[in-house]
Amino acid sequence: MSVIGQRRPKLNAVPLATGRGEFTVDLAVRGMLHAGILRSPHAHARIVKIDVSRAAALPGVAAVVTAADVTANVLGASIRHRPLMAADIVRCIGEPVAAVAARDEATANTALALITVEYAPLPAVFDVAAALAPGAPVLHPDKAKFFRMPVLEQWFDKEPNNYSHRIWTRRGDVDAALARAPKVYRGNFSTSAVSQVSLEPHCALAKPESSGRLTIWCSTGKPFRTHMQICGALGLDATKLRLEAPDVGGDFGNKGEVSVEAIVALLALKTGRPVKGVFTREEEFTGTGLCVATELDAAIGVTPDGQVIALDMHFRKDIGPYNGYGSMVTLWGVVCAGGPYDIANVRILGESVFTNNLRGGAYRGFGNPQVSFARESLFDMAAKDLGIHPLELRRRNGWRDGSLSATSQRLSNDLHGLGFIDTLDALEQNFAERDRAVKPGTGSKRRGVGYASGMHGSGYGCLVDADTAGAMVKLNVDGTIILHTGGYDVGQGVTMAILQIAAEALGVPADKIVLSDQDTDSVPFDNGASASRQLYISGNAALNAAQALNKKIREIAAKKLEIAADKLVIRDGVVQSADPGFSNRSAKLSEIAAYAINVAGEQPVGFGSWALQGALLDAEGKGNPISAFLFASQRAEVEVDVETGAVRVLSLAGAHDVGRAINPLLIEGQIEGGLAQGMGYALMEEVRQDKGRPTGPDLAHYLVPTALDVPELIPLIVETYEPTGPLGAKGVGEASLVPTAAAIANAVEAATGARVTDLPITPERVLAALKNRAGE
Amino acid sequence: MSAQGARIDLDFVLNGLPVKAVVETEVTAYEFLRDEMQLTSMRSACDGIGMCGACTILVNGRASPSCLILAADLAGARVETAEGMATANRLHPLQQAFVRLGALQCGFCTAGMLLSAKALLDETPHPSREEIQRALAGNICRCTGYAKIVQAIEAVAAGTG
Repeated sequence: MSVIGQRRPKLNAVPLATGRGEFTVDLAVRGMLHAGILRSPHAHARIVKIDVSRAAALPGVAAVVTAADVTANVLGASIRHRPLMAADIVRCIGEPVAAVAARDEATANTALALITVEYAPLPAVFDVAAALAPGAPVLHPDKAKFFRMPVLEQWFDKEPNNYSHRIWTRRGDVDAALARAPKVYRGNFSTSAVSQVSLEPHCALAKPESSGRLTIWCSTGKPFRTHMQICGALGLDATKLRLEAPDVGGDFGNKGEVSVEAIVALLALKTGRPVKGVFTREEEFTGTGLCVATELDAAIGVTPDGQVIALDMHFRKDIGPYNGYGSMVTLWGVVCAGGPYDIANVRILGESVFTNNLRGGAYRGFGNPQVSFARESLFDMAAKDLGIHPLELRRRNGWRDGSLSATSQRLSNDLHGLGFIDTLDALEQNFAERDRAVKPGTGSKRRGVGYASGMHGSGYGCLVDADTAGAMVKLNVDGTIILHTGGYDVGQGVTMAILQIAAEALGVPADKIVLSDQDTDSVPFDNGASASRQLYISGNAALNAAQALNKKIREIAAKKLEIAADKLVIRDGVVQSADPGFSNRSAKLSEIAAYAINVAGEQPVGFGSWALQGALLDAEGKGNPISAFLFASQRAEVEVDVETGAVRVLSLAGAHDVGRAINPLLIEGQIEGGLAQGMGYALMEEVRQDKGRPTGPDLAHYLVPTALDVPELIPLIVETYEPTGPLGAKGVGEASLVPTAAAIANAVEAATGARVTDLPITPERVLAALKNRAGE
Repeated sequence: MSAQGARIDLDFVLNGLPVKAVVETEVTAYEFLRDEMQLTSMRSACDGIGMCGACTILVNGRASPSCLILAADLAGARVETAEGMATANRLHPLQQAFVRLGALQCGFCTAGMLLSAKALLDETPHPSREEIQRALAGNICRCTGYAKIVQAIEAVAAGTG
């Protein structure tokens, strides 16, 4: 029986369900100190003087550190210029200025209060327009001095202004196409800054070992990238640090930029003692990279039969004061802005802009939900105006074999699993009848249905030259099997799916393989949980490793069984002749393992690696940025109270092309979770800021969907075959919230005739849109 | 935890076993159970303001956020945590259903979620979907979208967990 397609629970499900999960917040070691971080109360100020003497003298305080203690005080992927702790200027509220290690939390907090910092406030900018206005204070006059990501370099704005990067892609002649288009639909859209709200906050425990090394346990889905950043900031050789992530309480994008992890490491090195630091919920807002607020102007030109012949989009991202993922998110937004459509004339310009608001970062979807919200809203306007069903309009423009993307990438069935049209068909088959039954209503409660689609990619694609993973599968002398993978479970359970791929390729039941510990000493390099990449990239590496071991086992067994290796197969953990006539010539894996090690003198180990080679965009923004495309089409059914403006979502459905479905249970979990998170993004969530200060940075004010808010969720798995994927599979994790906000906005419009173009869709905005509609 | 706090004797039943302890009066049940009793299944995502539900425990069968209860208030009570749900190597039906039906992802909220569900089913063995949603309204899950959690509880109620 195939392991593929089995609904297997994630590997650590039982410990988590019995209270025996072990998260970094749960860890404690003898003699452990507690870290506290002093943060800037100013959005922009010069640090005139820091005096830590009173804090350092407080009984119970073991160390106080500032920027002066950091070897290479610059972090960040797009531009390496974010200090671990500010040295001379703070550029947003909450920026770390100093840190302490003390015997307990209370002492640490007392010590923080004893540090005196003299600030000289500087003029600040709190929105993109102000940041770009003539005479605006420039946050980084020296931005060209810092190391910058090479793939972004052609778009770096070297002028002394608040632009970081201005990124584009172009196809055809947009101005001419818009001028001749019979119908043009335009809109100005905005999306909000959002907090990822992983339930486990950022936290880390660093422990100096007697070997002279340092061990760090921390809450991250990207152990190697975290490891690399800590070593870089503190000037450590990679061998000096062993990093391990125990159970991880959610990631959603922002557990990839180092802060508390490097600070506790620094404090542990300084004191020679274990140090633990845990972010408060407020620090999750002020001390990490939030989902980036975006303003978008967009237009499409459409023929009367629904052919979209032009897409023009200009968006600006408020990335806050440092460019960690800001410009990468902008590039990914540019790449995804055209969606899964063949549009002959496209012009996308995405700009990342520095402000003194809270720092922007990565969130599930990585810049795609924003551009998809604008594009899919415009598609909906066109569908309604032209009297074409929204699914049909998308079908007429959707990718097929031979289509060209916005970046002029040629789509083909030979290279890509192209299941976009199938996702539209799946919604139509499942909901056509139900749509007809939805009654708009005449009282204050109006009902409507909205659709939206999107495409995303598995892996870093055009963001790097190569996105690499490795794996090792080892047959132990007793016939048991252990899998070493750098693919990381942050909740989604992907390690089970990777294990299923390895089991299938090896020819053993899934429960015969055990996952190894996954610290940075034990598993090959892997970029970790990001970019919907692990099932695809780590999965391919595990497939190669399992295939290598399968071959090795057959070669060893060939000697013992006296049958050529290529005439042997492994089925259900038994090595046997592929020829049924020789079925008596077989051996269990335990026999082969013992024979290999004790007789043949060979290691039954398979190593595999796999890399997605990035196809970087050229000067026109053309290229093949994505290898494995994820397709999603979603349906929202809502009820809007036209008197209060309140939107109640009645049902959300997501049809997702996932390639071959390795583990439908886990895939459904990704679709459902994304739908709910997308609903929060659409209706509820916004990190409001008053001059860069978050108002209500806690879970009493920042509301995320609860069981009462989330409606019926309907995941529809559309199976295709991804030619480059492991056994035909590809990712799903981010695609699931890419079109959700647009689907809900389109449903609100269908219910009321009022189109809301700003997220979140609050009752106030619904009422304002209703008023606008009435005034037309 | 202040050093000057008054102390009080505390007798209660924790996961079926009697506990005698001396606690400082201002220590919360959350701090006491985690730091003194070494039970870590209850966790905090909201810094102790009762907004996330991850630290939920059962006090005399009622689901309560342990961050908003003083340890001293547990006196005489029957307290249950997720560690006490499984018996003799046998998972509680809710735990089985959560595992089998994919009702947990990162697992940070799971213990609290299970206890809120247990309190509901102990009181209302056959709840409606809305009763389930209401029972879970104080427990935030950021991963699952709640769908599989609700399904798991329904399966247990229907005897098909």
